[in-house]
Amino acid sequence: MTAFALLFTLSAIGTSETVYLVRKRIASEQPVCLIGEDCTLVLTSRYNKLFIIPNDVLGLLFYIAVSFIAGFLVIGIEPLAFWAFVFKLSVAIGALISLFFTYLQWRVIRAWCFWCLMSAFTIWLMEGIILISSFI
Amino acid sequence: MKKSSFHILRVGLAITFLWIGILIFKNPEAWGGYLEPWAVGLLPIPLSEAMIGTAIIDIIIGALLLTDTLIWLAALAGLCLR
Repeated sequence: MTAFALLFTLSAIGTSETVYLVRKRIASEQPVCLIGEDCTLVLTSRYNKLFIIPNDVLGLLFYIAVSFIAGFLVIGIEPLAFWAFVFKLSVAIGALISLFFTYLQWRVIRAWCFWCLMSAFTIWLMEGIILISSFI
Repeated sequence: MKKSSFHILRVGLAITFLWIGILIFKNPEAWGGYLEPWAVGLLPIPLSEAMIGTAIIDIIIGALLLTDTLIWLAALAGLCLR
């Protein structure tokens, strides 16, 4: 239950963050860059889309889906084993994609984006919680 | 700084509303225990159904706060609900 509370909290934080980025992109405004000055450089780079879908939209869909599945698991909506499998699989895929995007920022774009890193750390933290809770 | 603190407070409150909504969905009868017996007697529908309605409103308020949409409406609804 504690693990799900943490996972749900993290996915809600991710949802809020990606909604902010989507809104800024639609309004053609620059997001606030709390650390560094390269957010716009990363967010407007040629790597800001995956399969023609903007990364912020993909992130938003991911966080919303994960929030719903965490809710289903807490409420106890059947089939629980299926939801648990989908939850673990989607967070694992999200963690790998975040790893790829972090590599792109580090080696290819050579600029760091605060919001992208925050999202990556959120997903890695979720993966860490899942791994730790499976061992306890 | 004032704007940052507003957003931190907004997201924190949103998560609280969403999580309480989920917990009420999980066990509506137990959460109905927080209602005074005389108030339960006034309900035109069963207690569990009333609590599920509360959970739905909680989740809607949480979603509005989380997505920074109609904040004034969410705040007003949250105030009335509490």
